[in-house]
Amino acid sequence: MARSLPIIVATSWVGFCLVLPVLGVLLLIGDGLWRVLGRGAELLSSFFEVPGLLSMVGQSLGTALISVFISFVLVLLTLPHTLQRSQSWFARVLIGMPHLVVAIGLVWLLAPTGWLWRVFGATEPSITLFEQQSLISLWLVLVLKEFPFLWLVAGIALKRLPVANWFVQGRALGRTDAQIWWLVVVPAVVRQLRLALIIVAVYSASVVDVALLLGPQSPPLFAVQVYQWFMDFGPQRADYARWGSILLLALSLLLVGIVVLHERVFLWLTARGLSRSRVLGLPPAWLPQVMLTVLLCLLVLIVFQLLILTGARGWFFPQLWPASWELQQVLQTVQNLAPTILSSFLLAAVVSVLATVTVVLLTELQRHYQKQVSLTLVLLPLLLPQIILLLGWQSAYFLFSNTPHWAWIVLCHLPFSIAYTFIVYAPIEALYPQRTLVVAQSLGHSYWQAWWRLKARSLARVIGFSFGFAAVIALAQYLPVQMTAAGRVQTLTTEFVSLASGGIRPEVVTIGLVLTLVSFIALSLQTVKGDTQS
Amino acid sequence: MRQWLLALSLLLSGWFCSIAYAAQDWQATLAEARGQTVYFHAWGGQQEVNDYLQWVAAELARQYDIRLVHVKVADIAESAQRLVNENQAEPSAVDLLWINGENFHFLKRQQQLLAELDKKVPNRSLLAPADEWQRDFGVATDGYELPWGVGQFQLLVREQVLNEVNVTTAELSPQQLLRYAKKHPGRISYPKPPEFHGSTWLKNLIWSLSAGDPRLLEAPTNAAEQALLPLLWGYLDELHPLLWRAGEEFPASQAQTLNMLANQQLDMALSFSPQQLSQLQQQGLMPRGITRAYLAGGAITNHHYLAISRRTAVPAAALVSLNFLLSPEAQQAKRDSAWADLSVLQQARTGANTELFPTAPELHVDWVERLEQTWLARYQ
Repeated sequence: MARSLPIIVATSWVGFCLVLPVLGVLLLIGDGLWRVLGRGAELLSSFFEVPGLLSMVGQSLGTALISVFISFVLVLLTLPHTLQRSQSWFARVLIGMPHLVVAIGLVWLLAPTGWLWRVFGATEPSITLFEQQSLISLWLVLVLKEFPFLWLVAGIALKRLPVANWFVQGRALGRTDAQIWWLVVVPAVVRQLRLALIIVAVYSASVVDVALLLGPQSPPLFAVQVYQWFMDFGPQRADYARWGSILLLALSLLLVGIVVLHERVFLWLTARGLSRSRVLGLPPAWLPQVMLTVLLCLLVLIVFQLLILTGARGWFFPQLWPASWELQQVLQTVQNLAPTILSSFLLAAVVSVLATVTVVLLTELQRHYQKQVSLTLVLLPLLLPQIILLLGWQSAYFLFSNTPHWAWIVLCHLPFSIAYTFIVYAPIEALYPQRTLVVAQSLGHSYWQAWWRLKARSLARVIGFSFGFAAVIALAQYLPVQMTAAGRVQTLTTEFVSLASGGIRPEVVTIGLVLTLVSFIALSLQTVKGDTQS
Repeated sequence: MRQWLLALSLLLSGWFCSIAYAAQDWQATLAEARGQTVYFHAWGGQQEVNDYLQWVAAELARQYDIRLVHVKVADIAESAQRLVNENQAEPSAVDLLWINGENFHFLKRQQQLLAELDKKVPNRSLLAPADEWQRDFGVATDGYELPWGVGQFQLLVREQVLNEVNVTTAELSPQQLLRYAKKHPGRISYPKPPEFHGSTWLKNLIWSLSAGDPRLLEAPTNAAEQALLPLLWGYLDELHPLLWRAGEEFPASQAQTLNMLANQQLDMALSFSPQQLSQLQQQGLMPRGITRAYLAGGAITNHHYLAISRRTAVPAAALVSLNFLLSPEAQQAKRDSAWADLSVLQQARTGANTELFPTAPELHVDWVERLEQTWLARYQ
C-alpha cells in the first residue's frame, strides 16, 4: 500500500470510528460526570451504603465467570466435532435468537408450571431448578446463548489452522493424538478465543433484559440496578447511576484481566499436565454428539413452545395444549410489522457493510503501519455500559440538532458492530500469509487488486460471517435506536422490547420469532456465499 | 340602571368577542396543524393501547391531515431523560407525551412542558370536574398536563381467596389477606418495589392499615413517619415469611405475577386497570375463577395524563392531537376499544364508570420515596 490519499482517508475513517467511544466518554465527563466525581467522599459513602450493593456486584461477577467458564469447557469438549458445517445451522439460530426470546421459551418449557412438567402429568407447580428470579436460570440462558457463539468462532478458527499438518508432524515426532491436541491445537484455538471470551464475560456482567426477567431481584444484578437508577428521578439517582457505571466499567476491566489470566493458567496447566503425567486424553467421541443432541432438542422444544405461544388462547397449567387458537392475530401482527422489518433490514445492512469495511481497513492499516491498535480502544464500546456512551454521543449531536438524522443513527450503532466484527475477523485475519499479497504485487497487481483476488477469497467465509454477525448486532440494539432516533426509525427490536415491557404476550413472541428469523437470514448469507466460493 | 345595563352589555360583548376570538384562534391552529407530524412518546407495552393509537393516527390523518407517530418506549422515563438532555435552544424531537406521577413532576420541575394546556385545548371544558384530576400524585397539574384516562389499583384474586376468608363483597382487609396467607403459605406475592405496582401496593396497604390517615396526603413529617410506618413494617414482617419463596425473592414485574396467577402459581396479582381482568379473560390469557378485589379503605385511584413538550416544533399539531384525544369521539372509542380505558369526560361519567371501586386518594409523592427506600433497606 503506497502512502496516498486513499490511505489517508481510510486512516481518518478508521481513526474516527475508534475514537467515537472515547469521545462519548469524554463528552459525558464534560457534561456532568465531573460534578459527580467532584462531590467526592460524601456521595461516595452514601453510594456504598446502598442496600445489597456487595451482593449485586458479587452476583454480576459470578454470573460473568460462570457463563464464560461453562461455555468455554463446553466448547473444548465439543471442538473435535465442529468441523462439520452442516451442524452449524442450529448455532446460527441460537445466535440470531435474542436472549430474551430464549429466556421466554425456557420459562414456558422448564419453569414450575412449564410444558415439560405438564407432559409428565404434573398437576401442581413442580419444584425445579429453573424458575424466574434465580441465578441458575440466568446462567442457563447465558450459556445456551454464548456457547454457540464461542463454538462458531472456535470452529472458524479451527478451519484456518493447519491442524492436519500439526498432526502429521506431531505423529512423526512420536507424540500421541491427545498430546498433539492438547499441546498444539487447543492452545492455538484458545488464543483465538480470547477476545470472544472477554466479550462473553463483559456481556454477561452487563446484561439487563434477561437479568430482569430471570435473574434474582432481591437484590438484582448490578447492571439492572444501574439501569434502574438511570431511569429513576428520585434524589441522588443520577449520581448513583454514574457511580454505578464507573463501578461497572471497573468490573469489566477486572473480567478482562481474569479472562487473560485464565487463558495463561489454562495453557500452563494443559502443558504441565501432559508433560508430567499423561492424564489428559481426547474428549470421549460420544460426548460432543450427546451434548449437541441435547442442545438441539432444547432448541427444537423452545421454538416449538414459542410457535404455539404466538397463537395459543386458553393455555393454562396443567393443560398440555391450548383450548383454542387465534391465528388471525398472528397474521395481523406480522403484516403490521412489514415496514419495521424493512427499516430494520436497511439499518442493519448499512451498519454491517460499514462495520465490515472498517474492520477490514483496520486490520490492513495495522499491517501497513506495522502497529497494533490498542485492543481496549477497539473493544471499549463493549466494556462500557452502553447507556454511558449513548448519553455522551447524545450530548454531541444535540449540539447540532435535537432531531436525529439517519447518519447519526447509523453512527451510534457502528462502534458496537465494529467491536464484535473485530472479534470474529481479526484473529483469523492474523493467520493469513500476507506474503502472498507481496508475490501478487510483484506480478503487477495493485495491493487492493491482490487483496480482492487472493485474500478476500481466502477469507470469504469469515468476512461473510463477520458481515452477518455485525448485522445481527445492529438488529439487536434497543437503546442506540431509541436514544438517537426518537421514533424517526423504529426497528423490530424497539417494537419487541417496548412490547415485552408489558409482559409475555402472543404478540411479543411473534415479534421475537420474526426477529430471530431475520437474524438467522443475516447469519446464513455467509453460508450461501461460502458455498459459492468453495 | 342604564349604567348597569351598559356594563352588562359590555361584559357580554367582551365574553362573546373572546369566544369568537378563541374560535378564530383555534381555526388558525387547525390550519397551521395541517400536514405536520406529531411524535407521540407513549409506553408501548400493551397491544390494546397500541392498536387504539393506530386508530387515533388514522382519524387524525383523515380529519386534520396530521401524521401521528406513536414512539413506543419500554419506559417513558427514557423520553423524559431525553427532553432534559436535549439542546434547550433547539426544537425538541418529542412532541406529545403520555405521563403521570414521577415523570410529570420531573418534567414540570425541569420546565420542559408546555404551559396553559387548560386554556389552549378547547375540549378541556368537557373534562370531569378539575378537583378529580388537578393533582397528580399530590402535585398540582397547573395546566402542564391534561387527564387522558383513569387508573385504579386492584387485586386480582382467585375466588377461593374471598370465599375462604368469608368476604362477600370485593373489599379485603389486610388482616383477612394475612389469614389466607397463613392457611396457604407461598401463594401470595407482589412485584418488588420500586416497580410501580409494588410501590402502589405499599401505598394502598399503609392507607388501609392506618384507616386513611390524612397525614399520608401531606409531605411526611418525623412524627407522622414514626406513627404510621410501623403499621406497615409490622404487617409486612408478619406477611413476608408466608409469601412466595418465603418473601426472600419477589417477582420482577406485574406481568410476571399475572402469568403466575394464570398458571396457578399464585392466588393474587395486582393491576392498575379496572378492565384488565375482563380483557385478559376475553383474549383467553387468564382463566375464569378469578375476580377483582380492593384493599379495605378504598382503592388508590389516579389519572394518566397527556402533556406537550415546551420546545415542540409542531405546537399546533400537538394541540390538535391532544384535543382530539380528549374529544367525546376519541374517549368513547377508547372506552369501547380492547383497551377499554375509562373516559375522563364529564358527560361519560353518569353510570359509565361503574367498574370503579370506592376510591382512595394518591399519597403525597414524598411518601413514595420514603416507603420504597425503607422497604429496600429492610427487605433487599
